[in-house]
Amino acid sequence: MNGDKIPAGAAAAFAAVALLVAIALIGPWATPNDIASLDWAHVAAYPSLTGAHWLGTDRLGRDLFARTLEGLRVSLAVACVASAISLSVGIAYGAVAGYAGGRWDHFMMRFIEVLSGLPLIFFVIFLTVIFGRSQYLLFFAIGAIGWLTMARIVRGLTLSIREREFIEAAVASGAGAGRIILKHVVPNLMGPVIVYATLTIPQIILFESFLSFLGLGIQEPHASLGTLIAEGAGEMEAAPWILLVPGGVLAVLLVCLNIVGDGLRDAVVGRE
Amino acid sequence: MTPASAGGAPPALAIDDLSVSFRGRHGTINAVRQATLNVFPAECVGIVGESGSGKTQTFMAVMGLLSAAASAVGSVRFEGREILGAPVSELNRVRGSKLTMVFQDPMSSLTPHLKVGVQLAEVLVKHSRMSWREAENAALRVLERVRVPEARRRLRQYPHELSGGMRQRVMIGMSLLCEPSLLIADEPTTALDVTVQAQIMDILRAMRAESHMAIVLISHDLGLVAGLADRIVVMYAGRVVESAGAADLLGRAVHPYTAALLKCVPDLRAPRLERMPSLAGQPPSAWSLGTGCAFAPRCPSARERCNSERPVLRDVDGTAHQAACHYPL
Amino acid sequence: MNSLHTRGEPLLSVKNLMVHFGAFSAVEDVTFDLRAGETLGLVGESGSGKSTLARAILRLIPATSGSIRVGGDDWLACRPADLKRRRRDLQMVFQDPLASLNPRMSVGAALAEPLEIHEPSLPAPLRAARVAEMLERVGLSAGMAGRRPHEFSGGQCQRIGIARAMILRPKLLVCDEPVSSLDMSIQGQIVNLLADLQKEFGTALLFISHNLAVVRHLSHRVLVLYRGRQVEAADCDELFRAPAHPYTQALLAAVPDPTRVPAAIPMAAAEALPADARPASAAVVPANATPARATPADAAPADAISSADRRGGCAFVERCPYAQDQCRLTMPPQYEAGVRHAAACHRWREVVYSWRHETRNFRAR
Repeated sequence: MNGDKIPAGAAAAFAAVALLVAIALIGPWATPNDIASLDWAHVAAYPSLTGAHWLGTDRLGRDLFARTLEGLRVSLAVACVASAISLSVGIAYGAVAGYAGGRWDHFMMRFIEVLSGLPLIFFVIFLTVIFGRSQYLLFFAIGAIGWLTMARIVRGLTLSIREREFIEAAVASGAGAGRIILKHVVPNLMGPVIVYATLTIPQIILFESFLSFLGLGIQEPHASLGTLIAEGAGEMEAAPWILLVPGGVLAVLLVCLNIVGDGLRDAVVGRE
Repeated sequence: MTPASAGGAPPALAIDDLSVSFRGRHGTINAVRQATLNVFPAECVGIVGESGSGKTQTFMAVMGLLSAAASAVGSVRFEGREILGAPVSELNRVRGSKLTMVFQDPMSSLTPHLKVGVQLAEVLVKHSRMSWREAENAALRVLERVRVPEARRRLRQYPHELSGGMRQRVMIGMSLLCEPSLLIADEPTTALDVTVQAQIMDILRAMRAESHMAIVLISHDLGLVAGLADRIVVMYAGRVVESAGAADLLGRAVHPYTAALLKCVPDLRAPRLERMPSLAGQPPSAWSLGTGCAFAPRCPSARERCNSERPVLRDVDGTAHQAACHYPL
Repeated sequence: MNSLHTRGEPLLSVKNLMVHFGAFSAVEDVTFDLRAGETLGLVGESGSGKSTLARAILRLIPATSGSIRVGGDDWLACRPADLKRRRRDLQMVFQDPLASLNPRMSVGAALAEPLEIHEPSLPAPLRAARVAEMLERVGLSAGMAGRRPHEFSGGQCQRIGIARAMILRPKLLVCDEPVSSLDMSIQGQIVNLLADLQKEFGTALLFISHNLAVVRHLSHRVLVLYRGRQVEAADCDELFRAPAHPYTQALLAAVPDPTRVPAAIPMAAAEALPADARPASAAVVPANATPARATPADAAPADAISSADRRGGCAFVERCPYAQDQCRLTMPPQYEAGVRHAAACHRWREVVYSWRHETRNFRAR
């Protein structure tokens, strides 16, 4: 995207993330085991690379490798979809509010403040009660919350971009507000916005893990990293790998995403 | 190599073979190449060049204000002591007191959240170990010296309450507080209105008449520099291309670049010209310089030799007038 | 160069234009005409209101009162739908060449945008051809269309800005300090380009600058502004030959004179001069001018004398070497100081006389 000097650490972290994503995607074909089949012969089996289950099995005999990959897929999917929702809604809302200014801006921002004040968990529980537990509800809920902060940030950026001379030049050329927002404002805020989005993905994944841990998100037999960690927590003494494998993957993913986000921010800020 | 000095005194500032380069994204940028020039006590030297000529970076190197990505080699001696690459503690003994600089943008040179009087007094308290009361009085006196009206009131104001011209006066006053030997003024009037510019130039002239301070005036405006300088140094693409006494240079420019710059200086008394004089092309980008003279692509009198062999700065006709040109005018 | 007398309505006719931001008056009672193909130089320093005036003419900011007629039609009463369409006839070139271009847009896209807005039916290949033609016309090469603004120098960016403004062949081009941020050696290139384009397309220019030397090259007529008011208006040659307002003289005197390398003028000598003709420099007290790009939210700095305090007198009175009691009390009207020459100064006759007959103190420094 930038072609600038991204520090070596960030490049390595980016490679790690890309590797994880690749593994998650090819997962179903990489292992003969699936996430739900119960292998009574190998209940709570220790991880062994030569055996049938590379990373062991859980209390019900389900292959941990396959389930971890599934969990990784789900977590990444949640992160992507939720980010996409918050980006698209947040940018649109924030850019319009920032550019319009005046009363429009005032009311749009008050609306966001009201929404921000609502307690998050109750909102999710409320939706779960109405729509039942489902993956898609999870996406929607997290995205619906993420856009608030994004909109605030985009509005702030739009306010400063609006004062720049090339916007004046566009107005003088006869460009309407829609064209100015789409072609002049939004492209100029993408740098900081993408950096911010990258840095919020870890928060989103953690939040999803938290919700799933509480039992509000993914249901059996599907797994997310959060549900796997919840299971593993119960088996910590007897079969620690059930916790360590998904926990380790989550930790690595989050650390790498943070480093990539930092690197992107340095590259973008450095360029400007 | 050195021009005749006033009375044989050693130079206040001696820059010898200074080169400044930056590690950029696309390679190394040589902003200043082997620049050599001297400033003698009580002398005013004008440095003239377009943007990218290296004139500012030369003096940023002198003041030790180069950015982290820059490296400077060569020698810079201030009052006999080598200051290029000197440790910060040693630099701070002369910077701000004996060797001062005034920058182009007065809007951003002053700290916005401190009152003007505090910023001025601070300089004295730090360098001369005065008490705050004495320092404030000295600040008042210096503001009167640079003709800031209602000086006492200004001391208690914040920078944003002053106009651009007034801020620049405060900056000049700040530079004068410790009786410097050398004041470097980097495009001090470029951001200001033309009538304010004239007033600032008057102040600089008055300062010269009153003290033995040497001044370096950096500008892209040859006409402006002519109004103050004893000697003028012209820089192009990081190198010194001509150096001579002001009257000498203005009367008889030897380097084609200087001659072209002179043509661009407006003369309101002369009849109006059809076409406004200008220099064709643009200054070379810092990383596309070849082996020959950097000015050759734009030079009306360029010949074969100019593209392959770089001219060296040397005396013209054995006088103090120096130029770096194979075919001086 | 005489001002062109074409028959019929002037292209731009501004009458009694006022632009106020709350209590602060940025433009006060400005009146002038601009004929097709002519250049009007608008001269003033920071706080003169020249940029505000330019933006009010382009309807980038709202005018408080007065009238602007473009080609005979009431421009301020134009409805939004019409306004967008008619914008193609009034374009602008900005002071900071790099800042006036969208850093994320290629130069070709920036030039194509006015075409996309005003000639949407133009097919893409034809549009690209016009962009290429315009790039060549301003002295760049068509192959540069894919590059971004930061890859160009200041002078080249300004050429791009001019190309973008001219691509629709506007009738009026407002140039807001187009060369002030460029090196002296490059300024002439841009000024000559504007002159060439004017000759080729018959565009009228409203050329704003604080630099009199540059204004002199392009303008048929010159208007001098001080603190939002027009203090002098004349044909170009006449203004430079016989300036009738003390502020105009101060501006002229402030241009550095390269032919005279002065020994430092000792300040004591100022007292030896005749009382009436004190040099502009000694008498001119620094004015607390508003910062260069005053936005509507900024009032003038606290110590500037507000319009109310001036008790109806001339705005220049604090800085004027000719100031008398009547100047403090009565706002000078536009006196007729010559053919098509107006000056808002009670003592304009003495002012002109001293310029022409006084020797070095006013002009040279």
